[in-house]
Amino acid sequence: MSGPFVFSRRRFLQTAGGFSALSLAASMDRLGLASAAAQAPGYKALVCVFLFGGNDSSNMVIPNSNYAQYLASRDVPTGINIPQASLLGIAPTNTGGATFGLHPTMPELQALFNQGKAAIVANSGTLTAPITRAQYTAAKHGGIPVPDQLFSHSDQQAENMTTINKATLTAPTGWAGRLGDVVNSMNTVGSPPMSMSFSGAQIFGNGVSVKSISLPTAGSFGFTGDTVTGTPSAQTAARMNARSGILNLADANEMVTAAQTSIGFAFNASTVLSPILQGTGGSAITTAFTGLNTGLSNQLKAVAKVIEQHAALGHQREIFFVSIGGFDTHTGEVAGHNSLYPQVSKAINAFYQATVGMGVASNVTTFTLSDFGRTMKPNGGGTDHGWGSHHFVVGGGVVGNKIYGTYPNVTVGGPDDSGSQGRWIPTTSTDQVGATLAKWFGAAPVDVAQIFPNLANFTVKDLAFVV
Amino acid sequence: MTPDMKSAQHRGTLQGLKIAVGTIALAALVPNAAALGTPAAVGYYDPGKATFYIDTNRDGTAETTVAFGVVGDIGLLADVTGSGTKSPTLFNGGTWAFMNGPTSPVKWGAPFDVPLVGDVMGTGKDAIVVYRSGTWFVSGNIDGKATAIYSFGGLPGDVPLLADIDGDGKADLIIYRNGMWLVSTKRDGIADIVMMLGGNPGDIPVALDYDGNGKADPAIFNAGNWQVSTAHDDRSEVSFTFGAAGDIPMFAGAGQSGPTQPPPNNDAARFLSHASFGATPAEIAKVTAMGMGPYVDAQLAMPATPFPAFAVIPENAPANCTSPLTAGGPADPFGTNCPRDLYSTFAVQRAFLANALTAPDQLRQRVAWALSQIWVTSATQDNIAYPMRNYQQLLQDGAFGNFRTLMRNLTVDPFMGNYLDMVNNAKANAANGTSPNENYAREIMQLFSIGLIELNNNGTPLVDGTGATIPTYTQTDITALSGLFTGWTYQSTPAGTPPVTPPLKFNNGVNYAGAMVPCEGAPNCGTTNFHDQTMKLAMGQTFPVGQTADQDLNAVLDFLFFHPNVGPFIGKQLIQHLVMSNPTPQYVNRVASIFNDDGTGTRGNLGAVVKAVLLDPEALAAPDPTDSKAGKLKEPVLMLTSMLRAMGAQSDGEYVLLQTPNMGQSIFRSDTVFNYYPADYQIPGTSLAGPQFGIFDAPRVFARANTLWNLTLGSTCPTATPTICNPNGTGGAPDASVAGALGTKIDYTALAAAASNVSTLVQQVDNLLLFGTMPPAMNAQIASAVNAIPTSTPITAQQLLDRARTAVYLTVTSPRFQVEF
Repeated sequence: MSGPFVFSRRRFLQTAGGFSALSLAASMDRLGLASAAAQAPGYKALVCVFLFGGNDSSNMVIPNSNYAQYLASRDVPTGINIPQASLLGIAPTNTGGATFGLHPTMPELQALFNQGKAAIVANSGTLTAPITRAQYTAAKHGGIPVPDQLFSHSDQQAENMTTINKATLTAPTGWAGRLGDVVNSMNTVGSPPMSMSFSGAQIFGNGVSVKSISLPTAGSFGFTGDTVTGTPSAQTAARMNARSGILNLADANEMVTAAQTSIGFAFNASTVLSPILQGTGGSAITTAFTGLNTGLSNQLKAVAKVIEQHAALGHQREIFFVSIGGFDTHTGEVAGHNSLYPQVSKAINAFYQATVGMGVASNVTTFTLSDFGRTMKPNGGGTDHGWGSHHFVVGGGVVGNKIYGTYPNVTVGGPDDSGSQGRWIPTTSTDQVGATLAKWFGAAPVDVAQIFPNLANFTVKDLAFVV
Repeated sequence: MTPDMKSAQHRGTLQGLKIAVGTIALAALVPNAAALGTPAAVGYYDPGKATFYIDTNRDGTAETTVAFGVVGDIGLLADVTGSGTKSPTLFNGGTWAFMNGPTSPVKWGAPFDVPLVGDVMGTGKDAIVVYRSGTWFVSGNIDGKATAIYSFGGLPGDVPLLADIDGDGKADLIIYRNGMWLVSTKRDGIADIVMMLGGNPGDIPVALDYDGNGKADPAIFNAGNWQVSTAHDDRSEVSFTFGAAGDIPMFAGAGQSGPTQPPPNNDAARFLSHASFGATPAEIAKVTAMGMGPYVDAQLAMPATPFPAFAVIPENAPANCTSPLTAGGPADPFGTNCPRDLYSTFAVQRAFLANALTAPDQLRQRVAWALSQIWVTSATQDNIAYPMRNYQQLLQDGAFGNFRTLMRNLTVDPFMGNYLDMVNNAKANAANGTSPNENYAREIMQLFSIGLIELNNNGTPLVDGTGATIPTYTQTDITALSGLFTGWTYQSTPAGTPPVTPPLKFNNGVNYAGAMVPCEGAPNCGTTNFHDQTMKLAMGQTFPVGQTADQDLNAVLDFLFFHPNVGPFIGKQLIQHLVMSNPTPQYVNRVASIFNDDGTGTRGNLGAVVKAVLLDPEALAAPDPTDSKAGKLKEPVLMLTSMLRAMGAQSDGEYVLLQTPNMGQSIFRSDTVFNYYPADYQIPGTSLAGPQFGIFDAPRVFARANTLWNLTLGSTCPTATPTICNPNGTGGAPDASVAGALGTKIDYTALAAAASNVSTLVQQVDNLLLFGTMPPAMNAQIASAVNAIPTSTPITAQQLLDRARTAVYLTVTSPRFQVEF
């Protein structure tokens, strides 16, 4: 895993475990103040939709004009063929006439794509540096560094969220959190956390000073019993004082202080955020999400409610993480996708429509990520862990109706295969996707380079899919 | 010499000997078994007044005063009936009289004998003993007949005592000789323990179990001043004043809680938080009495408390499986709700919690629960109850057996086969263009045996020359190994019919009724052999051509079992599930070494590994008061069971299983094979591992707090039992739709009674839930909240209850309860 390309990453990680937090925070803030407000005034929000399990996007975005190439690997006897007649056709304006089709259950994303509000980033994934098939299959990968533990769920989830190699061992921050560190000065001091997850604790939105808060999608967020309306009685006030007094006691045990921090963080954020999350949201939101009640749609509805109140919260920049699981389709892939893809399509579309209704469509960009793609060659009813995969980017500022990056040759054992099962070597890295979004979010090039240490290994720093 | 008996009643009157104070040694009394864990009451006898004075709560004043006997009697305190309390007893010239015991005086001994009482036989009752120049005459049945005679001592000036110094339940012979304490624990005349205390003029030796740890402590009484060596280290740790010159000091049995009550045995409580689902006063006493090593051995020997048997039922619920069950549906052993009781995880969760809360084989249950979080299978894959019950039963039965056996049993389990796609996994099919499924090959290595990177025996990563970690396998290895796990299928028997009826075939229907079996073509299973019989080369190991499915499976399981990673990979996770999140590499190394060789040359002895985990010095050490990384955050299940067990609550588990999902731990239903929380989760902003913090985000923090509110100040106490309260929420009160439901109830009676004194209340809550470790500053916070509750004069029952529940609420929601050590 050594080689000429690792030096910037190594320097960034120099104090592994003893991250030089203070110096990084200081430098981030200083640069952020100068750059973000100047470069991108106004409100902006990033929304990451993570498809947990590793999405077999080879059945989500399928060659149409070149369907024969797809059919050669996924004919009917494999059990996971998607018939050409069922594809939802898209004709990107930048693929030299090559047409494609989305999975038959995603008409909403097809419509957004055709309207120019959605784009596809093809064959992206974790990469430390560009690498070819010849290099990858050579001994020691021809000296080119590759990401760690490429086919392990936990590691690839972490590396997509952090763009740091060996993320589960060393990375204390996610790239969105580091981006938050840069732009947080645009938010009012003392406002609630700008980085929010509706899918539990994730490293994605954790920066050095910016800490992600995990929120529920519905129901109360806060105390149900030990709560008070109006002026508390002396008895209740004393109990609440004791509760927070105990929380603030110094303790020699580090597990105890960590628990204090987690509890205190939750208590503080809930007073402001709970009423927002318990409300129904305005008509733009209720209209857009009518009839939808899936895990993902509920998360995105909650995101919309927070976005709706961003001014009251004192936020000019917000980062959101939502997710949907079930993509680890080792078996039952056809049925799995028939259930999952409509949820993705409907929820992302409803969310986009809500932003239109709220007048912030161009201020919000939504994008998908996943652990990895999957093997083009199936195992009989399902597929196994792969590498590069295709993703959607959706928003009013997206330059849509295009496929960014390079759609792979889907021949098993072909030029884009890392081996013999159809695990595509990405031709676009998650770093590049993130850097494009970071630039849109207001980070200056020098900030972007610090947020994405491996970006130096790639020529294109801005894929320009959003403006 | 026959005393003049004037009364046949307990209050016997004995004329008798004048005893010169200062030469009489006192009967040191054996701590009563029920007193374990409770500190001593102390007493003295004033021979000039024939009166006993007893201080039950060690506040320096006598709560009990008893006049018994006449001047000249020698007073002792004895429990000859096994009642659990010491009662005034008199000896005069060879005749014994009892306030609590035989109604007629008993003749035993002669004038000038030294009377002693003690549980010499280990029966739970004191025997009466007389000492005469080195000979000890024991009448165990209090009837004047000898049951034993011992020789020990006999030098001029020797003072005999009887007390259980070594805590084995039998009083030991003690000779005090000028400050030297000679103890014969085997009563064979040989002093096997020698201690030093006293030796000054006026010193009177007493042996009493002052701190309630089951072992009598040497003490010296001199003119009212007591010095006690609770640590048996030739120094006195405790001193106090009670009595005066001329009084005869004695042990008065179990005392009561009071302002000077010492905390319960912390070491035992902390040990039990590792070895059970929560310490209880009774288990603390048991551990204290037995010692931790013997306690672990007893737990290792205890068989599993099995789950109830769940009948095999069809994979798809029949049309008449309704709620309540309609006639003709499958037999429902749990109630009348077929979808819930047979086709959901509910009944398995309940059975698991019933064991966690009350079963005696606590350690086995706890280890099985830990193993279920490593070898994960989840009902989210398939909701039907009986195969999840069978899978968990395998873990319970195998928790202390050999890891290699467990590997095999879990791999061929049909529910696991379905969960990770080993069932009906076919070898490559060129015509169809398919390859074997890689899921099980990957996860058995990544999660169940060796992990992702090569490890040192102490759990730290091996690194190569450039400092990089070394993966244990590559994708190519996975692809090669996937063929080893091919060719297995469900047994062919339709659910509910007798086993082993042909035909067996691949891709037949789901049948969890027995282990998976190979399908290798004629004559037993169709015409196609679905097992990959090619040669496989992976991780430097060759798996030869032509092996059967069973041979290949055993070969790959052996290969993984003998990989040097297994000891540290599994051992460290067991430490993290049972004891602490951040063990030192030295601790991991010690445990992994036992996995490698349990001392008899056997590899993979899980019982030995568990014992090593629990008894390691790092597990037993008290957390460093200046800076410590000890402990772990309680996972939701343990948070609730530890509270319910500590408080002696009664629960059928239903309330618990319905509350933990919001906290991130839906029992046996984790979202992924990576368990409810990631094994390698690092606490943000620190370098600490903290797996359970992975589900300690804001919504789940509130879920915990709100459930704990419902168990305390938010609970409902019925009029009939105003201090026994049910939490608000389904299953809090007994669920009428569940057969045998008990609900959950916490009895606040004792705490409410103590609540008239706020500092007593908070101390008791501390002892109960934090085992005496509550920081004084936290104590003060709770006390101020309790004091703010308005009170009437006299204080009402409701106010006492609210005081008690407030103190409990603030304690269980505190970080010091959320984290355990």
